[in-house]
Order: sequence, then structure tokens, then C-alpha cells
Amino acid sequence: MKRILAVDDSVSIREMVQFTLKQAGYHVDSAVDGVDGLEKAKMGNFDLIISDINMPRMDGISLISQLRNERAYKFTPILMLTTESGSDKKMAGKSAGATGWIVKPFNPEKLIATVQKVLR
Amino acid sequence: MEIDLKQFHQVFIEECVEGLEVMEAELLKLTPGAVDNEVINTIFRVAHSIKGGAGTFGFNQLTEFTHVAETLLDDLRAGTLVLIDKHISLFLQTVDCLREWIQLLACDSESIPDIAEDLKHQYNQLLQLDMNQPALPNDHDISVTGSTRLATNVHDDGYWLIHFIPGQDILKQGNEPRLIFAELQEMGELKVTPKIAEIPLWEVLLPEDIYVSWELELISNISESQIKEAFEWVEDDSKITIIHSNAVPNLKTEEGNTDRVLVVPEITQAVSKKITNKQSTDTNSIRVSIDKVDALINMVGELVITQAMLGELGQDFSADKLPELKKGLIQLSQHTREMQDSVMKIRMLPIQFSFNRIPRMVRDLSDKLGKNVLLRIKGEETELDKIMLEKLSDPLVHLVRNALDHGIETIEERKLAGKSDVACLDITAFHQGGEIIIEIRDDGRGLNRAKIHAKAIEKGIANQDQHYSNSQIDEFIFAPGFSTVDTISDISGRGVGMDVVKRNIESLGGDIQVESKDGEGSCFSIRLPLTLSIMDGQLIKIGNKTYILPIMSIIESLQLKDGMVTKLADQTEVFKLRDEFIPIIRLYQVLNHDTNLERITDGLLVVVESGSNKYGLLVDDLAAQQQVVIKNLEDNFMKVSCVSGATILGNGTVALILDIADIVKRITNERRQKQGLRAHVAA
Amino acid sequence: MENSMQADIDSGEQSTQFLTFIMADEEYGVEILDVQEIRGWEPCTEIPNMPQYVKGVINLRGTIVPIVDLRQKFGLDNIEYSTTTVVIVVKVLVEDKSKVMGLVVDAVSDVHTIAHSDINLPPQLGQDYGPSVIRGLVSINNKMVVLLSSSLLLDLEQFQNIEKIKGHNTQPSIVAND
Repeated sequence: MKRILAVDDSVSIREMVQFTLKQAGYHVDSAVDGVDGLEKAKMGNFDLIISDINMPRMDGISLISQLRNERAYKFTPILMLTTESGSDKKMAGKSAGATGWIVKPFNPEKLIATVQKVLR
Repeated sequence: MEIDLKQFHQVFIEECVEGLEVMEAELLKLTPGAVDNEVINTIFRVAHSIKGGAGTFGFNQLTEFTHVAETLLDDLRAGTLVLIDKHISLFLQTVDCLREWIQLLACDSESIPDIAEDLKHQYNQLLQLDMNQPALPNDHDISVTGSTRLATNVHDDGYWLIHFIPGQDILKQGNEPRLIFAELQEMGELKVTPKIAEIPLWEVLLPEDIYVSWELELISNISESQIKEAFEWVEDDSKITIIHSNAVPNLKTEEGNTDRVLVVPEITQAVSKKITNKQSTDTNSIRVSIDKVDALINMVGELVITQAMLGELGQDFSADKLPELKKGLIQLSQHTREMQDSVMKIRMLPIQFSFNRIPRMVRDLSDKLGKNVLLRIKGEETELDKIMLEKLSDPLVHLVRNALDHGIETIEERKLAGKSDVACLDITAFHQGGEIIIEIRDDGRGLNRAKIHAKAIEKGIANQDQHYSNSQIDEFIFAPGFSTVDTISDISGRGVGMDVVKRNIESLGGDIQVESKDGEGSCFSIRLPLTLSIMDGQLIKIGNKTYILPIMSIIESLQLKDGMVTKLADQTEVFKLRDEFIPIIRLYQVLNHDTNLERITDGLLVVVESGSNKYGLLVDDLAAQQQVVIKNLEDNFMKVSCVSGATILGNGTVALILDIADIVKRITNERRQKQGLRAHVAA
Repeated sequence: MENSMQADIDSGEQSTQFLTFIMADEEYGVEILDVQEIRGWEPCTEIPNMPQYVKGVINLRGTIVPIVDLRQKFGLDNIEYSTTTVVIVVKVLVEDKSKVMGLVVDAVSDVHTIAHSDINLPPQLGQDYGPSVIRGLVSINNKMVVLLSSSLLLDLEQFQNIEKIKGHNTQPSIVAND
């Protein structure tokens, strides 16, 4: 079973993502911000990381950079959750090493479809 | 597969409630001109979170509203706008509006707060001055970038030739060409031809870069935009050319993969947007810090180990194993006690939660009343039981309102009185003995004793001809029906009155006192017992009954000798302890009990401390000391005078825990009554 | 305690089961659903400064439960507690909170299913004492049974009221109720 880490400071989003992806047959862990996410990623073995951008302590872009510095996560798909349709955040994410993005608000089906794109 | 998002609404609502509190607290920290970026960021994140959640769970109007607020916050944090007072007021009003909105959502209502439109208007006005308005992703955008492959294809099969030269870094972004191809494959018949000409020599090859490019041939009836979508994440860094032809050749290759499976995905169902959450935001849940839960888990672990050990002992027991058994039992009692402590702690929350309304209220009220008030809160981390916390909020609010309304003077008055412009309101919480003390102190004008006295006489609470001490006059304000407010000001409410406050606090097993100095200020102290706790108790015997005194309050005990006791004019007995005269309280009298004592010197005197005074409690005898789990009587019965709770002794019987402060109060009242003074506080 | 049921109840009719008990040769009843358990009398811990009918509290599996002597509360003559003296432990919702209380009675009688149509409303009494604890009167086997409302019995406002009544030196009788 593929393992996913969902990082978002919003409880409701975390729960929704976790629930949705579990239904789709993935193992899902969650983290509340960048620092928590990085720790959990280091301790776990994830096939995909989904992260929000705006978070306290360490934001998504920094998290992505840090993850790319880890051997285990150099090539792991990382998806950004962003409400900002502005392209500068997307660009920043990509330069930090993000694989792709999911635009908020998203519905569960969209989430699953996007995840399936990177986790075949 | 359809997933119902309704189940997350409750969590979202709770999240919003908390977020709004954070937002408000941070907003109150803002001062125009000295903007802390971290504060703005925190506020932005809350708005952003609410907007994100609102959109995800289908609350579209909320999304739109929050969007404008978020936009303004974004400009502020980016520095394109400078923070002014008007912004802060607007945001605070927004918090109020959102609070109301969330409540409406929680009750399933589709309506929105009246003030929302007006606020939106204000935001738009402010934002029109600033050109950088990011567009709200409307439904159009969502469907374009977020849709899955639509099945409504009217095209016939076409031939697509795609050249894909990936950016060198795409692997480092976690992108995998193979996945993109797999996606395309689902849309039709795909033939993939790698081009390896560009692969450099081994020595200069960077293994993490990508040098291969591909030629893809796809037979499918999908549109170009759909193909582009598959490359969405890599298109900025890569070179992709797509050529279409209506002539469809045959793509048979040795690599196999001649699946002509045209996947026709279903049009995704719109997520139900019905709000069916019927619970109000007054949730019956607690947030518990992980540490507390971990501690508990550890303890359970220890308990299990001890239990196993005892179990083993019991299996094959013989008399020589007795010391081990004893040891095990001691351990067991220790662990059980620790665990009990831990579990109680879970219901304990920092008093901060009760205090959270106050800063905002102080700010609003002081603005309204033209007073300048500095609020200082200390001891917010002091913990108490969740139920107490909830019941404490209203009395606290009332006391603060009172202080602002009546206690604290206007800036003019203060100047005339030679005081500083800024009035101080200090709210302090701390543990003392087995209790929580909350003090609300202001440096205002103090209680208006003349007015109180007059009112008390008018209401029949006080006797015209009697002389009352200052503190007695102060106590009048707690009398039922007493209120010096002539007109019902909407600030202090409908003369809700101190008596209700006092009753509320007493229902929690606590009490409230006031100290006041004319012209200097007043201090209200609320005392709350930590009833949900384990206390160290001293068992005492009165007659043939066992009672318990809290060890925390006991200073020492002694046996009186003849000649030590003196009787005062009002019949109070006192004895001399070193350099103090300490009044004696014969407990059997207070409790209306039989005693086996013939003379006072037969019994024991337990010297206790209550408030700042000492008293000597006369008991028949002292028994053991033990740890006692405090169970309250109010659950099934009611608050009993002189008793703070009950416990179950080792032998299974119930023993009552005495409330020393209450005993003192009762005695004082009885004495007053005897002396003809009317008791203005019901015993 | 036998569990004989009243035989004929119309299938469409509303009825409730009552536990009946005896005090001073009179029969009373409370709803069986409110009865948590029935215990023999055991000495309880006295509470100071309470009216006489509040016997004290006991430990009921870890909960502190007050024990009220119903005879005394209703102003009937006191008797010595004997081996048939029982405590009916009643649990009801009083103002959204669940309260448990023990009622000391002479003896427990039986369980009866009583049709609502058979219950006669009590005579209207003076307003001074608030709502009556008497729910109604019913005749079982030619004997008058007084049905009591458990929640009102447990309502503590009445204890406060009783204090006031005591102050005026009035003996509360079963009829002029709290």
C-alpha cells in the first residue's frame, strides 16, 4: 500500500484529505506544519507528500526545499495545495522542487485523481 | 466513488471558532506604525485557512467574503498597504461577523449576517485604492484546471504527434515521464519512442538529470487541452510540441501495448453542498495536549506491569512472599493515584480560555466610555476543570464590565484626582492551597460606600440605625436584589447584579470577596476549590463521626491546657499561640453534633489558616492522614454549608470534607445574628 | 419481589409501569423506569444542619448518593427501621442533569402496569408549595395508590422550600405538598 503524508495547518482539511485518500486505499499520515511535516517525513517512508503552502513555523515552500535535501525524498512526488492562483507561488514551489499542485478548493474526486497521477 | 464531506463540517466549524479567537487576539496586539510581521502573517493564515476550508466544503458565500478580507491582509503583509486603525477596526468587525456566520452554518442556516454586505463594501473600497487584486478562482477556473477527463468528446479519433523534451530538472521535482505517458495511455492508443541522442558521455553524465526525450504517438479522440493537461506540471520547464492529424495510422509495435481501451470516466458528481450539521459550536469535546495523553498512556503501561506482577504472585502464593505482595500493593496504589491525577488533569484546561473574551471587551468598552485602560492578565496557564472554566466566563465578564463601568474613572476624573491617565485593570489567577484564586483588581475610585449604604437601607438589607464597618458595607453589593444602577445601562446589563455572580461562583463550590479603598480601587477575589482532585486529608473525630480537614490548611495541632483560653466580650473564646490570639471554633456546635468531650481540654485543637486568618478548630480526636479523592455533593444533592465535598474511606463509608472558610462564615453570621445585626449574607 | 403484571391493558392504550411501595399502611408508586435499584437500609453518613428527613449520604459504587426518608419528608410518624425497610434508588433528569437519590420506605410492594386513563389527577392544592409531587391517584385491587413524580421528589428547590416551611413551623402533610 502506498504511503502518503498530508501536511496542512487546517484540521478540517487534514481530516478530509486523510479520509478521502484512505478510502481510495492509501495509507495516510498527517502533520500540522512544515516542522512537523519534515520530522514525520524523516521518520517515515512516504511515497507521496501533499503539503499546504501557508503554514506557521515552516511554510510549504521551505518544507519542499528541505525535503529535496533529504536523500530519501529527492525524487518523491510532492504536491502543493494552493489557493493562490497567482503563478508566483507555483513558480516558487517548482523552484523549490515541487512536482505539481492541487488548487484549493478541490473536491475529493479531484484529489484522488491527482494523487493517482503520481502514484501508479 | 462519492465521498460525503458533511462529516467534516463540524471539525471545520470548530477550527473556524478557534481560528477566529487567535485572529482576534493577534489583532488586539497590532499597533499601526509598529507592525509585527509575524502577527500579520498569523492573522493572514487564519483568514486563508477559513477561506480554503469554506471553499472545500462548499460554503461559497463565506469563501467570497473571506476572500476580500484575505486580500487586504495579503497586501498588508506584502507591504503594499500600510496598516491604519481603520483596518484593525474593520478586521475586528469581520471577526464578529464571521463568528455569527459560523454559528449560522452550525445551525444549518443559509442566511448570512446582516453586516457582511456592509463590511464587504468597506473592503472593496479600501482595495480599490490598491491595484493588486488577485482574482478569486471562480467556478470556471476550477473546472478548467481541476476537472478530470470529461467524457463528452465529440471528436473522432485523431492522431497526435507529441515531441517531449523534458527540462533537465524534472526528475528532481519528482516528476516521472512514465507517469505522464501512463496518463496519456489511458486516453487512447499510445506509442512511445525514446530519443537517446542527447545522452552525454558517462564521465559528464549527471545521474539526476534527464537527457532523454521522447516522441509520442497517440491515437485518441481527446482534445489538445487534455493532452496539455497531462504535461501540466512539467510544461514550464520542458519543450512540448503537439501536432494533430486526422489521418490515423496503425500503431503496432513490438513493445506491445495495443490496448484500445478508451477509458470513459464518469463525470464527477458534484459534492453535496447541503449543510446538515445540527450541532452548535458549544462542543462537548476537549482539546487535550498530547503530553497529557502520553503521560496517561505511560501510566497505564506501568499499571499493567504491576498488575501482572501481582497476578503472578497470587498464582502461587505462600506466606514468605508477603513482603513482595506488600511492595506490589504499594506500587499499585502509587500508580493508581498517579493515573487518577493524570486523568483529572485531562479535564483541566488553562484558565486562559475563560479569559479570552476579556481583552476585546476591555478595548471596546474603554473606547465607548472614553476611558483609557491597561489590561494585564497574569496566570493564564493556571489550570482548572473544564466545567468550572465554562461557568466562570460569565461572572468574570460581569466583574470586568463593572470595573470598567463603575470602578474606573474617565480620563478627566483621573487627572483631577492626580492619577495617571491610564487606569490599570489586573486580572491574576493562581493556585493557593487546594484552591484557585482569581483576582480582579482595578485602580479606580473604589466602591462608593455612601451610595451602597443608602441603597442597602432602601432595599431593607441594612438597618438604618446600625453602624456597619466598611467591609460589611462592601458585602451588601452581593445581597440579592441589590443594584445601584438606576438606569439599566447596556454595559453592565440589566442590573444582573453581584448576587447572581456570587451565586454562580458558589454553585461551583467557591466564593467571592471584595476589598476596596476609597479613591484607590477595588479588588474582587474569587476562590474556587479544585474539587476534582486528590487532596491530602486529616481525619478527625467529632463524637463518633469522622470528618476530614484539608491538610493544606492545617498549621499545627495542640492540646489546650487550663488557663490557655480566654473569653471575649462577645462570647468568642480565644487562646494565645505564641504572639497571636486565635479564636476557637467548637466544631461540634457548628455541625450541630454530639461530642464526647466534657471539657475543652479533653479535645484537640487543630490550628488552621483560612484567608489571612488563623482559627483553632476543636475536635474530639485526630485520626489518620490519608489521600482523599474529593467527590462533590452537588452532583446528586446540593451545596451543603460547611462542607466542601465528600470522600469514600477505605472501609467504604462516606466521610465529609469540611470547608473551613464556610465554617468561619457561618460562625461569624451566627454571632452577628446573636448580636442583633441582620445577616445580609445567607448562611 | 414478584413481578405480577396487571392483566388487561388495551393494545392501543398508553400505560406506564409503576413500582409500588408502602409507607404507614398507604401505598405509593413511582415509575419503574426511574428506579435504578433497591437496597436494604444501611447506615449513612449524616450531613450537618439538614432537615431531619435527609438521613445523610451513602457510597453507591463510588458515587455519593443522598438518602431521604420519605416518611419524614411527608410528615408521617417515624418508625424504627426494620429488616423490611428498603431504600429505593431513583435516578431522574432534573434540569438536564441526571440525579440519583435514595428514598427510604417501609417496604416494597409490587410492579403494576397502569393505564394512563385510569389515573385520576390529584386535587388542586394551595399554590404556596409549588407543583405537587403527587402525579395522580389510581385504584389497584380496590386500594388507593398515590403515584408520585420522581423528578419532583428529587427537585431540590423543595428542600429549600421545606426549610422555609420549617421556619414557619408547619408540618408538611402528604396532601399540602412541597
